[in-house]
Amino acid sequence: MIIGLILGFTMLGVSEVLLWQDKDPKKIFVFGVFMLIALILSVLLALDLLSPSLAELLEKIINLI
Amino acid sequence: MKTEVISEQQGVFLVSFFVIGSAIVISIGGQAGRDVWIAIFLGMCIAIPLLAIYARLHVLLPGKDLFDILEFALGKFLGKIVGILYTSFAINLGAIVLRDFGEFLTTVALTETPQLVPVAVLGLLCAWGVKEGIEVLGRWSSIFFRVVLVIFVVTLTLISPEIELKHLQPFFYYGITPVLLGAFSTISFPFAETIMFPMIFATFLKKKSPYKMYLFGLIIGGIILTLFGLVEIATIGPELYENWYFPGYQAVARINIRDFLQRLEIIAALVFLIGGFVKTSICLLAASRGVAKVLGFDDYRFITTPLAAHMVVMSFWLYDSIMEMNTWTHYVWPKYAFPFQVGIPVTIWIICEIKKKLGQ
Repeated sequence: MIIGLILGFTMLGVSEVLLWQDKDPKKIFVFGVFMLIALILSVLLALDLLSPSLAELLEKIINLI
Repeated sequence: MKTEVISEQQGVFLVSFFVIGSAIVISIGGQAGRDVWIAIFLGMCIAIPLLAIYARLHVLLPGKDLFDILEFALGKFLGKIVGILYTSFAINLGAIVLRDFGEFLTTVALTETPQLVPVAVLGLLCAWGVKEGIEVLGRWSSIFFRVVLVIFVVTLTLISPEIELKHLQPFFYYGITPVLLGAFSTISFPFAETIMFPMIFATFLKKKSPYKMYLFGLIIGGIILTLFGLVEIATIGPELYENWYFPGYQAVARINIRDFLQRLEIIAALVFLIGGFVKTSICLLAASRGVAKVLGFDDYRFITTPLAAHMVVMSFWLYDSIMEMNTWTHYVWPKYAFPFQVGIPVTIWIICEIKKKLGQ
């Protein structure tokens, strides 16, 4: 599953960038960083390492404030 | 950033679609019990001044979106910080809508399908829609809003034999407090979620267009939700309305014309699908514009796909179960959304009015 996620995100990212008319390095860098964060999050989620849930985290923060 | 302009009519339809969005199948204002339709109507009336403030911001600072307005009102540094918060709010709201959509489909229709499939497909579709721009989304809305209106009228007509007016009476049985609580919860979901629009609208055809778009859109969407809430309560009763996750779907499932015309609940699913697409796309567009503005890019389209991926991943991280989703939507979301929907917009509106008066 993790290999599938990595392959899927890489293929999606690379094919998207290849289709761009304007290959601005800055844009490619920002795109890559955001894609990498999404990939890391999805791998963590697949490994069940993202606990507690985001709703629970936000609820705790709101109650703290 | 490239100027994108939509007509008043397209803006009205987009706002209406956004308001109807996921609220058409998920129970809203459930605290009001049998008076839920009064609560929705009251919530819409209370939301009118709030949306007038959003529109006023556009009139005060023409050609600027919320991120520019934040920098104008709060200064460059603080404006960017609040802009980042709004961007994360847009991603979060988009993820919530995607999760609602996924839960709905896997609960009522595609029970054997992994939730990732419909959520990822909708996410990719939204990314495509956003890449085409607000003008395409506006044109799409103006076509499909008519389809939804026809579906709505047909559904109301067909469901009328199932309506039992005794479910609606007596009014205000538990007093005005539950109705007010329900009304305030409908402001945070779905009416004031329209705070996404100041992030994506910047230029208008006429000076008064923002008022028309926001207020007509809110009123049309609000009236549809009020009527639908009324029919839902009159069909399934207040107890089932509060206990079911998707009462709108269950109410439409009651349609049975002489055992010939039945299983029309797919109509409710279709409206939710269309509304969910518009709502997620608007959130994705707002988030993309936010990231582009904060990082100083002149185009937002390049960041759309990664943000759509973020929304899909976050939609799974959001809740552990559908019960948590229901509790969060009704009890935590209003507290979480309040600063973004009311606190910050009202503050920056006051600051902008003062700055404009002082001629800055």
